[in-house]
Amino acid sequence: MVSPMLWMFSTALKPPGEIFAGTFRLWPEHPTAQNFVVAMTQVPMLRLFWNSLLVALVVTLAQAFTSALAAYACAIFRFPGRSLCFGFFVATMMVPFQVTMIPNYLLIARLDMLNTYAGLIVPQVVTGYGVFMLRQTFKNLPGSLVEAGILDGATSWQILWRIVVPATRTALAALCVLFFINTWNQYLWPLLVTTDKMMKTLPVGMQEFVSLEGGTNWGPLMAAASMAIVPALIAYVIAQRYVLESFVTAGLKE
Amino acid sequence: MTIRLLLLALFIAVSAAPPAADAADPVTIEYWHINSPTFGGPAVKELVQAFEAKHPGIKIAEKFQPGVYTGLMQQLQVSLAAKRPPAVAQIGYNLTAYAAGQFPHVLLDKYRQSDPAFFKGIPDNIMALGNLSGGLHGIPFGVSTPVMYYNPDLFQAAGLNPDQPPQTWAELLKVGQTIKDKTGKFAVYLQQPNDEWIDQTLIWGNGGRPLSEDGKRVGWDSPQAIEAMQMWQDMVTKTKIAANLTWEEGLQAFLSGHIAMCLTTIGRQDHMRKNASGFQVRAVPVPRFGGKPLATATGGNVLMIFATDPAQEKAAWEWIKFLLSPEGATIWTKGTGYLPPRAELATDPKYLKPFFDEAPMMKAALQTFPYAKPWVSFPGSRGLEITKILIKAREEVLEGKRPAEPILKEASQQANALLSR
Amino acid sequence: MTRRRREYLTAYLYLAPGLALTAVFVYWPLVASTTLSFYDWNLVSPTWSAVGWQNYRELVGNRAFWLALVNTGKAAVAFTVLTVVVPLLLAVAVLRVSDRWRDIYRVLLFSPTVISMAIACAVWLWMFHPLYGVINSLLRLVGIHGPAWLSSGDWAIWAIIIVTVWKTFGFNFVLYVAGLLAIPAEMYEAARVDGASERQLFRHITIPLLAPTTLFVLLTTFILSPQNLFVPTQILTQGGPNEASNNLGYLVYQLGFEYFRVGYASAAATLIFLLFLGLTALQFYFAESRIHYGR
Repeated sequence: MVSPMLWMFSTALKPPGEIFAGTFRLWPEHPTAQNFVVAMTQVPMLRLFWNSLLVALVVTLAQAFTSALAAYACAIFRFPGRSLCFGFFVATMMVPFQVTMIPNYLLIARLDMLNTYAGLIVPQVVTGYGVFMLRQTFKNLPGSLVEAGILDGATSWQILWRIVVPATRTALAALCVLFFINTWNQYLWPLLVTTDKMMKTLPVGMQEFVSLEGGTNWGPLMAAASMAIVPALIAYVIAQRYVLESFVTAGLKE
Repeated sequence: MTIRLLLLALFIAVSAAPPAADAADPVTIEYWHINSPTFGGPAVKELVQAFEAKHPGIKIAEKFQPGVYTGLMQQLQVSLAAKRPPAVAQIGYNLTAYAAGQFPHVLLDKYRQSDPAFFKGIPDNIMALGNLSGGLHGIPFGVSTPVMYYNPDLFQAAGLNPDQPPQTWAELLKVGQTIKDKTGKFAVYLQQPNDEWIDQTLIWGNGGRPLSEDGKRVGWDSPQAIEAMQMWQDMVTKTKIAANLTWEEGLQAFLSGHIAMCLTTIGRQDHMRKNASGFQVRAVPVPRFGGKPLATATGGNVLMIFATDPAQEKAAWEWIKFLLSPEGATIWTKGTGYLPPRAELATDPKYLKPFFDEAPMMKAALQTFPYAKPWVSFPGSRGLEITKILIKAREEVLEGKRPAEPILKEASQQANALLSR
Repeated sequence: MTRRRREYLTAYLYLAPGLALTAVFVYWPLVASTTLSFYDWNLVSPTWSAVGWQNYRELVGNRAFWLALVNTGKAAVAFTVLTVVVPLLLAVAVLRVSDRWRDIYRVLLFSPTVISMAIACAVWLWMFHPLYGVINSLLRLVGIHGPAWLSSGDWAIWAIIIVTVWKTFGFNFVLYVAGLLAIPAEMYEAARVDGASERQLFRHITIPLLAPTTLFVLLTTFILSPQNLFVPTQILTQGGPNEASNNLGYLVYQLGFEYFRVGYASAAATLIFLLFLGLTALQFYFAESRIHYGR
């Protein structure tokens, strides 16, 4: 399960002559930090990190927000066209991304938003995955919760943010982690939108080490990849702690 | 009616025009290339600096495109659709016919009259790489040849002389058998990427043509092609001296000492030298077919101009001229391992002789240079699919369930049908 | 305004931002693409031609399309077993374990998901190496001569499936953990007091209460299977050898970005969309009726 990751770290620490050694060694004979240095200097690593972080955070929050709103409507309210709207969101997952990629690129280009954060973020703000998942979670809440809120005279907005969201925070946390990691590792859309070196995200920037013509620079590539997984792992660990904590308190309550 | 509206919306999106530039500003042109930091990236920066010093009114915005030539084409297509193409881009030879036929670009024949001095010194066989039906579409810039890298240690282990690697395919088959018998390792790997460069090299080498002179038939079903591909199939399935692996797998296996000989591009020589595990890589020209002369497909790229603005076009042409000047070509060759388009630079001590003296593997490419043939790209709007058909034919041949002849005949039929579109 | 009308209006207000953005960034492209599927164009040439149903006809006659369909089917089945059922069982198991080990297991099981797919594929490329890769080396230990995974017509698609399962396993795992944690502990305690066995707890409490999550996981795994197969295919095999590992996710890319036949690719995309729409709707209505939600 984890051996690929071990190989990744192991390669990051090996000098070029050892990477393709006939027999595999987990710990290099002459471990070196050279690859990390190369990765940081040949590619504006910190800037790429920052770009990826900013985009991932904003997209995660935006996706959580829009998904919660839409799921709230589809799960809690009763109105004509409810199933249709829900289907409308879910069906977006079935549209092959190659279909949306080019028209969205043309639109962003037309709006002069290429090589901008807005261009990277805006087309991704809604996700059918999130709407679907939260609708399931909201719908699974005990009916008494929301009814209590209505009896107390709360507005639907208050019910959403004061009752529904806190009650489902485990699911929301899990969803946010997935959104973050997805956006953090995203490649194809940032590739299209950013040609400017300083606006690229981490996955796109790492491609500078890959060359089928001149040979991929495996050492620095794996070093960059090792550095790249850190924020995603942190996001997961934080969410896990948060989720775990919720469980503990939920078990003690009532 | 609605369909019209929808198409209209798509066309509006597609027809976004970039803002017009002020005539007094320095002209900034975009140059798209595939030179990663370890494959010529620093050379590009050096070239930009040198050029801007000579031409203060022009700024070069060089942009690296991942995915090598195919990746660059994909980005190019999208940016052309958005009417924001780069001024100059590197187009791989195997994609040139498609780009020339389908992408709006500038025809360069007019510069023959205005800049005749530039064209002197570039050998005809190289210039031909940019010359397609209808005119000069691009200036050949990157020039690479396939070479045969080999592992002298494995030769020694098999009791063979490492200073005398095989020069013909017949010799290679013998040597290969010895290596397999004595060391148990694979003797040879011919690169199997998502293109047909080596396949074309085999066809040219055996005296065939990948595409007929009139451009109406592919040459994969000619007797020479069938013979060459059958030989490859036998090496993989019958005598089992050749490995059937994906490109990256094959190269890695060579570097880790599992394969004795490896036919791939000279562009990789620096990577090979640095990454070989425990042995010194050497290189020689690829084997010949018996008494037939050496002939290889040429890899690399042409420079095509996509600028629509006259000021940008002018700047782009100046940039191209610089890139192929002796000064520019020297920086370029040193940084990439591509051969200089101007052959005499290689022996000129002022320019590239020291470099070639110090990189012995480059000699193999130099020896191949006079015999370089085009990497034929297939004309018409279905040219790229034809390439895929031929790659799939190779994959089927190497799988070995049928002999080469029927596979190649079928593939050629399909390809020929698409040629006429 | 009546109360009911106010409810309708409020609901649509909540839906408005999502609907608008989705319409612009997903549905308009889909409609444009479907329109394009009746043309022969590469978005760039100054010439194009209307070809009616030609693209669709060609697609149906294309061997690569049927191979892609079959391979995607194989993948969907594999995904259902390996990334829908197995993560569920593992999530239940992990939550039974004591705290410290639980954290470790969860990080280990989730770690593949954290890496970008491109890097993961690069690493698996090494693992699949027929001569000295980990997988074939292990197989050799038990006396099996492993295939040349990426160059073999029979095994290439399974290599891709393995990588995809390894990578996407963690997503569903996390969702199941979240779903399990939402089940109130008292339900289990009360049942235990009543003398229920672990098996009965699992069957009568865990499974039904987890059903909404399970349905979600099942359907999204199915819907996203083409998308998830794409990057491994692009990096490891490019659909080869000889289209043996082509799949619906890669096919659209191949037609549109390798051949630049945007109209043809759009036809494939539209077909795939309709196919998945139909199958998903069927699965959804069938399963939804059997689930008991909290409300």
